Amino acid sequence: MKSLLTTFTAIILFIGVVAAQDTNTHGHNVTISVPQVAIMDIEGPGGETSITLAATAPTEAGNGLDFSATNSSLWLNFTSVVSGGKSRKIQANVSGTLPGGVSLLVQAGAISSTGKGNRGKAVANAITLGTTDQDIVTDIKSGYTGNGVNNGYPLTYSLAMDENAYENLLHGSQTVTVTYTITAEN
Amino acid sequence: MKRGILVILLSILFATTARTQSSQSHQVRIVIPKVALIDVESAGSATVVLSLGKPNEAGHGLQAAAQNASGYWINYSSVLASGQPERKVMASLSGTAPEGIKVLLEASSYSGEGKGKNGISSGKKILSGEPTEIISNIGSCYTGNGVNNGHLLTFSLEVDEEKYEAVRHGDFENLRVTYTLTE
Repeated sequence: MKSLLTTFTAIILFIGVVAAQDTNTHGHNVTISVPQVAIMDIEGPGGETSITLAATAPTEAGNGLDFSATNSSLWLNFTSVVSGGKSRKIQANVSGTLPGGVSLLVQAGAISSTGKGNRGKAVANAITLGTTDQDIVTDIKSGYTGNGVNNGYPLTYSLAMDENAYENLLHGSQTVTVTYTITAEN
Repeated sequence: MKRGILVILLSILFATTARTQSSQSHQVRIVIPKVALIDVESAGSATVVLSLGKPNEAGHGLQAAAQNASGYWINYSSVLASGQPERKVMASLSGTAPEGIKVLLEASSYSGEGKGKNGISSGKKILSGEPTEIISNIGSCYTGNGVNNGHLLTFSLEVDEEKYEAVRHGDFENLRVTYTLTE
């Protein structure tokens, strides 16, 4: 590393010399490329990213199903390096068929203390997932979250029931897919 | 110079591994349990008392009992499976009913704080040891819990004129009505 630094210094000095004198010397250009990076993934305990949310049956006749179950086992990790003045955001959508009257919501919580840099901010309220992408984390610049669970943004999933559509509700289980994308914001 | 080339090579290496957009998906399984619950609610726990009226005039028969809005409400919660037929509420009478007397029961139309496809009253039905449908067409729904939710039960008595000779004076207790939520 030290030798690399020496090399850099030497190159910068060398360029300086080139600029100052245009005779009797010979030079070449050096391009230092810092790559743009946008890598993101979902992490769950034991590498498992499939989750289950179950409505609870009432114990008292006359009451409806309880949809208050939540799941907070998954984490959003990312690494981002942007160009000057640029930022990124993470968006989410859902594909597949939800049970009649049921909505799936997700919210990014407070970011972990791990990682470095500008890791953006979570959208304040839970978003109701739909087929079109919606922002969940915005204003990400150059930063990284750390890798694995307990790093990055915790994701809390919840359900909501449209009580006026209760008659469309059917017993059973349905699996849907939630997709996250890190993409340019500007 | 050699080191300079190394730096350039490293830079190129970094650049080729760069990614500027990334997506990832995961699955969410949503489970809806099957539900079939029924109970009967009342403000108190009073037994329903039904009495036939005496005739006012010699030569007339016993009068049918006035309608007794019992204060009992049927509450239920139901979640159907796909393709499952709608549910209904059946009522049956156990114990020794007085001979020559018909016990009738009518569930009101649904009212309350519930949601979904609540049932439809089957009208006034004569109760017997065999389950009789009193509410039908129950889909995925709930009635709300407690009195003033669901279907109010109204009882009445009638003399079976064909069996008038079998009618005997007395109190007939320990009759029990059982309600079942079924397909």
